[in-house]
Amino acid sequence: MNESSLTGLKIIVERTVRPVCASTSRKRKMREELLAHVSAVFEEESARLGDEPAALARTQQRFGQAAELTGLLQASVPRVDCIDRFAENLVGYPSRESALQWAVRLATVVGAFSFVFVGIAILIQGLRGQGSEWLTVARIPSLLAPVAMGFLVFCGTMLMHGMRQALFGPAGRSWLRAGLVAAASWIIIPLTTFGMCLALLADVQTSLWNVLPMLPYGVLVPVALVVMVYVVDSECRQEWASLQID
Amino acid sequence: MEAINGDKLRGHLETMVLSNLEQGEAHGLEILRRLEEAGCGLVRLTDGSRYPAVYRLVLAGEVKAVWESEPHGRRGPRRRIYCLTAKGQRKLAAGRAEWQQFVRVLGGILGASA
Repeated sequence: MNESSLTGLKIIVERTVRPVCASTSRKRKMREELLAHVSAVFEEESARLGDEPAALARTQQRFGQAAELTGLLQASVPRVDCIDRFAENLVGYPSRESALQWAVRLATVVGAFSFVFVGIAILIQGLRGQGSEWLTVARIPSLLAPVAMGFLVFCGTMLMHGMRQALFGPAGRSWLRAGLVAAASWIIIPLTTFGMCLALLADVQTSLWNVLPMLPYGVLVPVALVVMVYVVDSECRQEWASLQID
Repeated sequence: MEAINGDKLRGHLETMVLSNLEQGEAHGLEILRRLEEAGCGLVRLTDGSRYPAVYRLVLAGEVKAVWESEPHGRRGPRRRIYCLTAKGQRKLAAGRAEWQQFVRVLGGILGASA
């Protein structure tokens, strides 16, 4: 089977699966199984007809009308799948929105969750009669945690997008860009912490001393970033998404 | 003899798949082959239409699905192997009884008992 036939088979599958409203993992399974099916049918037809374009057309014919099959597949998606879809819509990798929108969405979700956790902590301490503790200066970093978390997630998402573009972008791999993104991701946590310390302590030297021990550990951030980019950006996913099905 | 197409089969597809899997585990294409064979070439279904029925059976716990671990000398994407569960066996038995009743009643009405 040549590359163009394989792409043709993927298009047959993708026309059916892409419009289905289901979680990514469910659709991935559908794609893999249906591709295995059409590949086997194609091999069969190819051996019979001895002509790949004709075998592809016959495979398409045997597979059925995409719109009808989409409807049948949709009906087979269980209701509980909407929970997965909800989670994906909340924090999942975007298929059509921009990196900026994705970063804002993630930052909002993480910030909101952090806010709820802080709220619960305040409530628990308030019920224990220690609520006044939250009115002290020492608790300001905890109160600012949701904002800081949201900010870090926003920056992390944008950096991940930058790393993805540097490693797998349409312009090809750019090590310089990847290096710059890695350097930025290395200093992002210490820099944010420095900003918070400076705002609280109003002392540059003390703030710096608080941040410096973080720098060696910060090296792990670019490593984690690259791992995440590889995980999120599996080639298969890109391949299916970029297929022209119309 | 006229072929039996998807519209006539739709309500019976799941029972047909269960009956098919009673012969032993099979992947999607094998299910299709067995159905064609059992229907003497008169059962006409598009290839893709079988999968939603199988997915519904998996969801109902009547069929168990596992991803193929060995490629069996084959290249390309993995296949899923389906097998009947105990619940599926019971559903199949109920489906057969229902079908027999359907044939008996309609045969009586049409004056063409099986």
